[in-house]
Amino acid sequence: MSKLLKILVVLTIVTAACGPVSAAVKDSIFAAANDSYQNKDYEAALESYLKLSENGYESAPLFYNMGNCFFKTGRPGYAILYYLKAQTLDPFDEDIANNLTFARQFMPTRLEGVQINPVSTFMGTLTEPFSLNNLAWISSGLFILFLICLSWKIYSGGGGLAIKVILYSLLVLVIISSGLTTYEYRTDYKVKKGVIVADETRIYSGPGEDNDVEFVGGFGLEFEVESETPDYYLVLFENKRKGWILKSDVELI
Amino acid sequence: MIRKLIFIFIFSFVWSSGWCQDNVTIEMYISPDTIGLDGQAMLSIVVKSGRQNLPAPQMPNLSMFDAVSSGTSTNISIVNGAVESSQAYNYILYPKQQGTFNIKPAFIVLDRKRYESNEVTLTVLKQGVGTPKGTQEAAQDSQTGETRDVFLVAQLDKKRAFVNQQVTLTIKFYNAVRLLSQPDYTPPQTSDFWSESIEPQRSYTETINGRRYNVIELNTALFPTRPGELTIGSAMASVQVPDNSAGRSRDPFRMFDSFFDRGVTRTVRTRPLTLDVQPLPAEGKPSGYSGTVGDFAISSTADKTTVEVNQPITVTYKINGTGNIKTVAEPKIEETNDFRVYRASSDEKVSKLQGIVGGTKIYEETYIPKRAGNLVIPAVELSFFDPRAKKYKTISSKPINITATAASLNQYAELPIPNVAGRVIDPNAKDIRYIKTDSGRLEKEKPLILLTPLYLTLNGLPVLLLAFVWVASRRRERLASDIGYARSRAAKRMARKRLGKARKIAGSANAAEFFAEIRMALFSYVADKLNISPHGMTGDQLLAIVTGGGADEDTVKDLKNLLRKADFAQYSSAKVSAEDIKDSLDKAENIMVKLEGIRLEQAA
Repeated sequence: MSKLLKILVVLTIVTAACGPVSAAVKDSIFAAANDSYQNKDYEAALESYLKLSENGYESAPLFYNMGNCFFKTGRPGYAILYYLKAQTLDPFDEDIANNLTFARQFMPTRLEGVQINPVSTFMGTLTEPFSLNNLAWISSGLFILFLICLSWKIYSGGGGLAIKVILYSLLVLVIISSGLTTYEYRTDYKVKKGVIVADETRIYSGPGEDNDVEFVGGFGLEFEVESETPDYYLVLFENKRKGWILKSDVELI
Repeated sequence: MIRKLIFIFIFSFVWSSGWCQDNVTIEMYISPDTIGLDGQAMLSIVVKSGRQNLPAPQMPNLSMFDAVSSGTSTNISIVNGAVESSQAYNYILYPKQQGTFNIKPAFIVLDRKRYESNEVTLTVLKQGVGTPKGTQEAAQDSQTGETRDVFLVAQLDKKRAFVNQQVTLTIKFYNAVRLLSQPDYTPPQTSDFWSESIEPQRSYTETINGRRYNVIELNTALFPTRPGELTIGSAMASVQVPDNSAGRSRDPFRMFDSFFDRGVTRTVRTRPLTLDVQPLPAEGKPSGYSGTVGDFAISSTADKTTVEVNQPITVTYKINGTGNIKTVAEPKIEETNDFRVYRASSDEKVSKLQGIVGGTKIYEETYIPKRAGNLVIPAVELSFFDPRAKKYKTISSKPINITATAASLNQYAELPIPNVAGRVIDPNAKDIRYIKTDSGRLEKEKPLILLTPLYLTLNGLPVLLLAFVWVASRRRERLASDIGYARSRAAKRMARKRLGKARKIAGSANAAEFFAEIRMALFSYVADKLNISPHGMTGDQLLAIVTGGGADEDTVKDLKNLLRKADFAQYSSAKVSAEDIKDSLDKAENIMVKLEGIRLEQAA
């Protein structure tokens, strides 16, 4: 019995040591990773950052720092991936934008024939400052406020010009915020996006190496996933070219 | 500060005026090098330099010819920011006598330095000999023996070549009459060749069989893509020429015809040509040879040789020479244990100097040292087949010695920023920015709030509130405007109130007042429900309404008995027992409950 108890205690300690990072130690791991980076031990820094990431923690600085580590260790494809992840969480950060631009300069291939959709660009500009959850809360808050004001107007049986202006203004804001939320949901949540992380990969006309090679892409190229098989994604690039790409050569953002 | 500005100004001026790129070359060409006394040759002097606006070359003595300038042509190319200018001065030479003439070098003097060209030799034979036999045959109509007015000739500069070796196809259009339209030219089929047009087209005159022809010459460089007996199809040209069939007319107005003459269409063709294309020899073929044919050189330069670890070095590999430059394989540069390697940029420039296709390919590679120490960027090899020497050659760039020092803290790599079309790069961006020391809101990944029950409930509650407020508002409005509805809704409450009052009275032994309240409660309830006055309503009317509403027999009977008991108590002096009062109160409450369950309607 006592032997069994000892085994249980040891198992508990090991599990606690190797298991998920507790909230108390996450900041110390982050600080230790920063120290490693400061000492130019980029691999050690990356290992610590990855421990946080693998335990489900995320923040723009975490992904940004991981991008830096990948860049410094000669993996610019992964660097671009993590800068994009960081930018998703903090679209306005100048450091992220700078490093992303910088890393992209080393991309071996560029897409030709990329056409800019002015509507998408405009909607993207509007939604860029907000995450999907932020937009959902904003539209929900406006919706609730609108309904409360409408209820009050109905209950009080009237209301002057001021209440009408407030109601119509709230209605317009509700429509705009709901539209943006829907757009963000459809473009950023429903659609899976990814980036090529392998130095070079082939894009096939079908899911398998026995198909024709449509073109060869290099790291950093972004795409949208349209469908998938166990080993391949059917992807759509910014210049509207489609093809099948090996899953092991890419990462989803 | 002022000194710095002066230095920058002087440096910019010197650079822009080309003083820093003094690689001036001057070359002289003659084509053809053998002509007849009635022929002509083209003499070209080409000056190449990294700067523009060079002085015209000093021409050699050409007194043994009639030399006529046929203009100059300028070609400026920019490869990786380096400007290269070549200017060709062309002269047509008409011989005055037979013989072999050595033309001395042309030269220019630049910055007190003399740059000389090569010498060329022109052989002048007797009249008519310089023209190739094929051309003379094409100029003569085999049936009539007369010379043709227009004809087309195709020639190859070689009869035998190797795969991917340049062969120059020359198409010449001869005309000895006035042309009424531009020649409509159809080039020959060259499906087994990779072709490169050599411009510009040349125009000159040539005397064949004693007749002077205007000649338009087109040159195309052909590179055979496979071995074998390859055929070059017929070229064709159509042109409008004057109709000479009516030339013997004695019409006095014939002189005006030239103004309105639309002429006749003449279509001329070349004969198909064949070329014997030899395969590249298997003997001596280097491993990794990828089909490059020509004569090339490779060089490499590094922008610096001493750097810190993780700082980049840009190495420029330059391959130049003659041959099909577009098919030159790019050098294999692989990552080493000492360096990470990135392709920074590549550029390609095709040159067609004096009909010889060649050019320059430039690859810029970024080497980033992984460790400190004396490192070597290895030599890069290039293998090609030289068709003149008829053998394979392998050349290589020189290895570059690099001294990599340990990186100092807080020193970031300064990586090069290649120019990419369409991309605007912040010129201040020299490296990735430093990491963030603040972890931010380091939290577990949040689920999408849109689909959670909390979010849906939170948004659903105000909808329910709105519905409730709307219903309440409508009810309040109806109560205010519809008295019948208001009385009906209040009937139960009022009846209960009266029954409560009766209950209070029940203990006071005032039976008449108790039953009056009971009676009033029942009558008022029915009257309120039907929005009629309870005053003047009789017991029979009440019973009729209740019966008509569908009340069961027991309820009607209880109601009848209760009304009778109430009448008896009100209008007789007989004493009513306390049990009767309690029993009557219970029955009244029971009847009220029953009445609430039926739909009362006014009796007819």
